[in-house]
Amino acid sequence: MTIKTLKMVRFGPYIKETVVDFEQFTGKVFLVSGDTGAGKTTIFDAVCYALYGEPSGSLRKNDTLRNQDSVKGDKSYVELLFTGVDGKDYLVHRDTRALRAVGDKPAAMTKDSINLTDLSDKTVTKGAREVNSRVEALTGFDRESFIRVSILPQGEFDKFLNQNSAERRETLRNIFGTELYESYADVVQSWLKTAGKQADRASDACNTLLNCTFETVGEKYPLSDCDEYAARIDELESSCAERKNAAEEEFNSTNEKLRQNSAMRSAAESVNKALSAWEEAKSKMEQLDSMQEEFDGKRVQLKRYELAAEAAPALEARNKLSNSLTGIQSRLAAAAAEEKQAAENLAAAEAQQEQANSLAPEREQLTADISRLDDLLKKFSEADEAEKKMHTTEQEISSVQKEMTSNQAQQEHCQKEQEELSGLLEDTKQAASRADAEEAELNAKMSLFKRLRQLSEGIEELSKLKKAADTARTVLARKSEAADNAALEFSGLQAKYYAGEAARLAKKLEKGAKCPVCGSTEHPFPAAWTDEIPSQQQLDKAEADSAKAARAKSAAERDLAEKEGSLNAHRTNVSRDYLSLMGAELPENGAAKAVEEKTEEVDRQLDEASIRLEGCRWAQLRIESLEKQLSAQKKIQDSLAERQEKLKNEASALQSRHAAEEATLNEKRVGLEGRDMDRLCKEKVDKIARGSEIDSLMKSAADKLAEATRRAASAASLRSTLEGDLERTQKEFSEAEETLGTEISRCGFADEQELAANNVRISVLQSLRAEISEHDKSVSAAKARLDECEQRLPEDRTPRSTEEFDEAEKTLRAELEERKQRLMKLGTELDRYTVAARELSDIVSASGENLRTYAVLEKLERAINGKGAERIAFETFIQMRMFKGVLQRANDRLKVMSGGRYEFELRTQNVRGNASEGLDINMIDNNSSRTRRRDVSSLSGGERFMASFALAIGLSDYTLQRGGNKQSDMLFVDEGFSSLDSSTFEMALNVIQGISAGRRMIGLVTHIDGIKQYFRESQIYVHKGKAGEGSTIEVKCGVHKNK
Amino acid sequence: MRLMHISDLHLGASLYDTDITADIEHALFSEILGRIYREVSAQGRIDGLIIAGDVFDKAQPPAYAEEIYGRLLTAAVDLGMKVFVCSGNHDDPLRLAANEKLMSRLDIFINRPFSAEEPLRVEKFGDIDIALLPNVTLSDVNAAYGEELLTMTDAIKKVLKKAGLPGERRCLLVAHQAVAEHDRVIGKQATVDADAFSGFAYTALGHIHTPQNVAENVRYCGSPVCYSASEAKAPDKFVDIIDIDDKSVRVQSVKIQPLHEFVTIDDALNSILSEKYPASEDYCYITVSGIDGEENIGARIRDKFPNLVRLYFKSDREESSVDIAEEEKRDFSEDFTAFYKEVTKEDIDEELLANAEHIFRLTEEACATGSEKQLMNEIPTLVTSEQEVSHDDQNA
Repeated sequence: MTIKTLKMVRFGPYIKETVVDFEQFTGKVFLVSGDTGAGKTTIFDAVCYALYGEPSGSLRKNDTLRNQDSVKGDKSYVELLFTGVDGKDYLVHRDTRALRAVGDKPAAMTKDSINLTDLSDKTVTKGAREVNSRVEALTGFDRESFIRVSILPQGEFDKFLNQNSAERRETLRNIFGTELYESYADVVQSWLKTAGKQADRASDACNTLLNCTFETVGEKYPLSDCDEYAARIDELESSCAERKNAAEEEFNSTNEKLRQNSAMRSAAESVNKALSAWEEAKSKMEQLDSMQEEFDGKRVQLKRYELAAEAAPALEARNKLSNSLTGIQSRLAAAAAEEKQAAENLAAAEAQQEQANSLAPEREQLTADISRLDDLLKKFSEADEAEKKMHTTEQEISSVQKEMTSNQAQQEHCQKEQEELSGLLEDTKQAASRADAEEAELNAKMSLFKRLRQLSEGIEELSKLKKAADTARTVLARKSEAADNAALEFSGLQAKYYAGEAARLAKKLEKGAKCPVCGSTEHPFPAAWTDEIPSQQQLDKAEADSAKAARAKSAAERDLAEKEGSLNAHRTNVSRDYLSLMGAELPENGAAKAVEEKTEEVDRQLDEASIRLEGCRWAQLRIESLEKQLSAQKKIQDSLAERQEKLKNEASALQSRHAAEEATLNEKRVGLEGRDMDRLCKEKVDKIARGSEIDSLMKSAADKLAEATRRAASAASLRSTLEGDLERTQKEFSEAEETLGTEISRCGFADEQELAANNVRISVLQSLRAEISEHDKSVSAAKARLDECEQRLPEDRTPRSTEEFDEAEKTLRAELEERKQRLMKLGTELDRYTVAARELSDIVSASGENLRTYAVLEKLERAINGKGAERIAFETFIQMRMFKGVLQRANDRLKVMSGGRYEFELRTQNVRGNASEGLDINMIDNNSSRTRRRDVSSLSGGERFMASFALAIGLSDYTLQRGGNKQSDMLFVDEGFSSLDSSTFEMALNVIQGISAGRRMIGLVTHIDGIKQYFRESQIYVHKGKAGEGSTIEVKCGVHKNK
Repeated sequence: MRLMHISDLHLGASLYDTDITADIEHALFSEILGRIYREVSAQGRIDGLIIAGDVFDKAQPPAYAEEIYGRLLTAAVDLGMKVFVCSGNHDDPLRLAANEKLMSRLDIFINRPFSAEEPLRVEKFGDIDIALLPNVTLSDVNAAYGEELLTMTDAIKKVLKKAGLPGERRCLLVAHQAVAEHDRVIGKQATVDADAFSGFAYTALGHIHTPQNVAENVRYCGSPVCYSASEAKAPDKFVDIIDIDDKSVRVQSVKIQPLHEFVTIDDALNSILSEKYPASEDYCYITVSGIDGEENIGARIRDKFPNLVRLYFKSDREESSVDIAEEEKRDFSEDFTAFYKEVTKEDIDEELLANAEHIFRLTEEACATGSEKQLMNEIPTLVTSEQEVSHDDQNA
């Protein structure tokens, strides 16, 4: 089952119609991201709601799905286009419940608000129940299983992981389609119950039967003793049979006696009967004899009637003829009168005809006048038409002229526009041409800017150097001062030394030695040694110091010179640059500032120049469009001029036509002056009227004449016919009279009246005849009877009596009845025993069968429903096998995510005593001993998500591989990634990206930003709208087609 | 002109739980801008540094990563180099180019985020141009130019055409894309054909962490540090030195000495803990097998290799794999016999099996017609073995 497109209107936070196309993500992993409350989970809720009528998690309820800002009457629905397991496309549409305030009843959903359309043949299913069951059939899942296989809902991802065996059995039942096995277990269980009930019923039946048979109440007769009971029944049966036989014999003897008695009685009775019959026959015979005379008379009467009937036709014939004779006579009289009348009419009609003929010439004159008038009138109408044509032409001319003037105006307008546009175009071109110049200027300014920057750096450098030079100078001053001091010190010391030389010498002077200075040997005033006199070392030191200081000074001098040199060099450079850039000599101070100002200015100019450049570039683009506009305008101008020409030609053509028509009109008007058309018309009408008057007169006269002639002729012929008829009829009449007379005499009647009197109706005649014959018959019958009875009479003609026989019969009957009762009672008792014996044997055999069945079913039920040593039901066993496959797939993922550390395992050992087992999961932690299993509840949150995630993918993989109709091509993971640390998260991402594409699409919902960079090509971003606006989605999907 | 070419710094990344900040700092400052710079610049001044994308590992990098980046740029500028950076797929291009105007004053050039008007950035560098192309996806290009191109190669060609490159001046392109000799699909991305870059003097690429030549004058310099187990199998890392003038291009690769070596081991637990592998502080990716019955494996291995990056467990128990297709073909009596054996530990007798199957078939039929309830209420009728035979005959 694959979902294709989802449409939401006023659903959750989506107000406007929002369409999500899932098809573009087929075979891909995509991300649904967005802020909190934007509506990410809502998308999956919508899919779930559209299919099953409830959202994906258990947190939201149906009533709250409608957009909370909707008012009553707003349309709010979801539509999902999906491909069912039969490969056909379906569209399911579901409205949401209206929002209700507290205290309202929930709004009813109309049948139309939920419907499912089959897109191949356009059939529509309506109503919640039908649609829901159809959807379950088409997707192969009910809501629970769908969620289990396709969605990991927010906050509930570990629901499946945490279930116990029994709950998991329920969940997997639908997914694995093991309902059959559940039903199987149910069938076995109920059959077992039935078999148990049957056994109970059998023992109840046995009890009832035996209680009834042995005539006890409430005794228990266990089935195990049935043989004994059967024997007892047999005994009772045989004794009863004996008694019954005895009773039967007695009954028979009584019956025989009774029979004899009644035989005798009936003999007596028959004698009596024969006697009474004879008496009866005799009396009847006498009665009939008495009526003989009457009947003779009747015979005679009958004869007369018959004769009258024979003669009747002649009488009738004669009467008829006399009637017709009178009729003819009267008709003849009428015909004569008619003839006379007709002759008179004829004369009158002829006179009228002559009158009419006299009017004929007048008629001819009228016809001629009329035709003349017709010609004139025709001419009038032609003239009118010509005039009309001329007017039409005049109108056309005026319209053409109007168009011409408007066209002129348009042309002028167009011209103006053209001028405007060309002016604009010129300007633009100018602007465009300046582009290059601008660019050059911009570049120049750019380089100027750079140079200015360099210059400012240089100035900075310069000031740095100056500072250094100054420093050096001060150093030099110091050092030279120091040197001078040192030299002074030294010379001072030296002086002192030399001064002290004398003292030194003096020290060495011994009395009597020669003074090296003056040569005298007397030293009256030897120079005194003072402390001020430095020693040689001190002097040397001072010399050294001085020398050092002098060296230092010269070094400082050198340094200064160097610095000054570089300063000057630099200054030359800088001032050169400054001159060229600023156009002035380098000032002592404020150079940097000036340069800075200039730099700013140049920067500003740069910005301006770049803006101008933009403008020029933009102008360049505009040129093309302007040129296009201009050429369009020119085209319009040309077309307008063309039109003007055409119109001119038209106008002149119309003018010439007008002239021609005018001429025609004048032509037509010739000969019509001074005549008034109306008057002429009236004249014509009058004349026509008169003409027709005359015509009608003539016609009526002719008609009348013809009529009269005809009438006269017919009257004459009628009269002659009638005369013929009269003659003939008279002849016939006389013949009939004769016949009648003959008949009357033949039949022996006196006259006609007598005949008429005896001419009665046929029915009377026939009834009389019948009466007579019947009487004759009964007479003969009575006679026969009498003979018969006489024959039957016995010798003794006395009646017999039956009293004694009656008495005997009564007693015998009573006895018989009593014996019969006894016999019947014995018979039923016997039957009872027989039936009881048979039923008992039936019960025994049936229960034997039943017990066997019960034993088998019991064993079966124990095994199937998990009551064996291992508490695993059969359904669970099958599910376990399938679940192992699921865990295997899940392990593939889990191993990747945990680096091989964790694995799933199906628990096969029984731990708890009562509940059914088989579907529990162990986690194997390879890091610890593999013999110790961890329970899933001991995992941390992130590990649990990892495990649930792996399990969900495993389940999805498994159903896909198994094929059939229980597969879902999508997996949605709603949050949960935030519980993973970054490295596990990357592993999970690897797993996700490594899931085989095929047809499956995987959607992730998360608010973590760091995921987005992996999904730049397949992302649905949900924008949260401000209050009142709904959320909107933005889809990024690369167009990589799967190769 | 002489340039250094590095890429895929992934600042802010960590290897699972191991913090490798020290390694990346060593690689960048002690090696690349330290020892290698000194050695190479002794033979000729290095004028520029190219960073070809994936500067950071995440779009919002942690603070210390930004700090390292700042230090890197400062060091490069202090050494007198111009720096050219293009943004990669892991970077947020807007964030990376947040201060690009300011940085331009210091001769650090970063491309702005990709747009139709400004697809890339070109800077003059001596006699040549250097073009910085941000990492683009197919949908970026399609959205920008309103087209519906189908391959990355077309997209890159379009972008280059729109930018007017290669132009008349000799140009060196810096890009961060998956490029291959011919159109292919690596991983989940479509690659760009190498001849899309044919007009450039040289193309300095980033994105693939292993140094390699794709085509003539189109090369990946690789990452400065190993970032994944697959890289750890070929752990040598290099920085490229590009010598380019108006006629020729020459590239040499200089090895970076890492702070820690990378090692992959795949062996049994006993061997791993024995002398076969001496204890070391190297970064290890270890796959351990032979773990049945062992306790505390992770801790023991970590004792010997304190810088264990990642431990993979290879389980050696035989999985009785369930073949799904086979499963479907099993029929009821096989299933039930197996089930009975498992549950009661006994073999099933003929009569019981025959009845079990008989009832199952009835249930199957009833479920197919939806009449399970009716079946449940019927009187149980069992079969004997003879009857079962006839039942089979009926079915057959």
